[in-house]
Amino acid sequence: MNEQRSGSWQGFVRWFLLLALVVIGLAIAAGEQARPDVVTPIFNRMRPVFDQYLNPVRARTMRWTTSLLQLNELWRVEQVNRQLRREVRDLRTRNQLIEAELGRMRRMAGLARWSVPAELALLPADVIGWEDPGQSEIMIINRGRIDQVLPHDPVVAESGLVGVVRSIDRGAARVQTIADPLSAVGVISREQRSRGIIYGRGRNQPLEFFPENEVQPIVEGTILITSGFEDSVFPKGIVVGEIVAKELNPYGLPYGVVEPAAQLQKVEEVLLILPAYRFEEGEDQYTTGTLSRFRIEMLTTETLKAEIVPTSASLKFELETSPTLNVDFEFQVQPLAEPTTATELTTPPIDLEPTTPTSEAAR
Amino acid sequence: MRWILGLILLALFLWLAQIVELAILPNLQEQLPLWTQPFLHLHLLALAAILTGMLRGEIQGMTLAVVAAGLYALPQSPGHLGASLIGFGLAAFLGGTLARFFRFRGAGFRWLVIFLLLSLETLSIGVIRRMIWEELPWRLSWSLVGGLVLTAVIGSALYASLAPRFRRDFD
Repeated sequence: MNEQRSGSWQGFVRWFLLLALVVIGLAIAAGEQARPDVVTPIFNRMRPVFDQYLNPVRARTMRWTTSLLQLNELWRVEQVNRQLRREVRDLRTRNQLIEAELGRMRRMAGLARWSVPAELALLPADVIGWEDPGQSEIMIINRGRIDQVLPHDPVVAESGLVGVVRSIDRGAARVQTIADPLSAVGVISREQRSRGIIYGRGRNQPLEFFPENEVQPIVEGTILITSGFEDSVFPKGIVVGEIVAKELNPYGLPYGVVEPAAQLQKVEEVLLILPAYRFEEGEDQYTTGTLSRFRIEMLTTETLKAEIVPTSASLKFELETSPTLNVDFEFQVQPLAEPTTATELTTPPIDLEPTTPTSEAAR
Repeated sequence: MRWILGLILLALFLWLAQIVELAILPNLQEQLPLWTQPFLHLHLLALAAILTGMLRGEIQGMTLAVVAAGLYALPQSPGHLGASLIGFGLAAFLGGTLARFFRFRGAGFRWLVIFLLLSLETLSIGVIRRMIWEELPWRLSWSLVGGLVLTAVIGSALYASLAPRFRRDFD
């Protein structure tokens, strides 16, 4: 009985204390809001007691977190650094591709030096391979029957004659270069107008120039151009090479060692010289064998009045999905600086003999 | 001897809880990233009051709630003391009352009880502060809930280790 009474009394005390705590709490909360003039001084007196040991901890925590944040910042910088390295790698790759395409454009711009009569057409082509059975010098280009290419069409590069088409496929053609042992090109010297024939001697062998008249002097530095004689497949005036040395063959005949104007082993783009009628319906005026009636005028750098200057390039390549490369270029044609008078004097224009309608007269 | 050891442990825990809750965690809350926030909303002082109530009964729990509320509110600017007194006291009282009916042997149940008591404490403090200062916004963030969950886990572990030695025989 007494225990029950004691238990209920204790329970009453507990609930009473809780009620008192709640009432005091509410009173304090209301006082904190309503009487700051009374409460704030009390808090101000109490706070320094706690700040004595809380403030050092706060300061140290601040230092730790600052260090942590610096580490975090370092980590973030490292992430950015890695990303930038990846971008630099990508940009280098793109730059290489753009440089390659730019080089190709420059070479194509060089091909634009060629100027032909309206009756002839120039067809650009890419060198896509080489055939080297023995000492032959046969290059393969990406133009063929579907491009109206036929055997015996002349092929030139930026700086001079390359060779002649020997055989064609549907989309490709084999070009016998002037270095091929079976190649013989009728030429005349640009200055002395003396005639002769340039023979190919095979891969990595110099060309040989034999003058028509064996007593005719062979002068080093002579520029040789195609003669355009009758039945020649080459139009007149194409630079073939330059005599760099004079030697005797095993039979005692003098010949000139000729360095070809076109760097045959390095050439990547060429031009095919075709009769223009092949691209026009209903006309059939010239045959490949009569191209010698035309004269080709090679423009020198000094005569070029403008150049192609790329202004921007965008490149898209999908190496994973398909090995394709799309390059979009924007470029503008900027006029070249006018050549100085001295330059004009020192580099006279190519002087070609006017072509007569009948080849016999030229001969 | 046992109650002296208990008092020393209690004082030590209160001191550490105050340092962690008022000096360390606020700094970290300001500067550490968002995902760490649940670890930075620990209610350790309230936990001390609740654990004392669950171990020793309502009156001891409320006594400690008064001390904990003072430790929590006095280093701060006015506005927390009254609400903390009520919130801590209510939670400690209920913890003591529940201890008369349950022994809290299961870890999950123990965690649930402590979590609910901490929620009650947070809710009551929020309500009272809202009653007094009407401009305070109602905000319940996931980081706060995460902090309560984590505090309840700590409380459950502490209770499990302290109960064999310090739990009062309510029977």
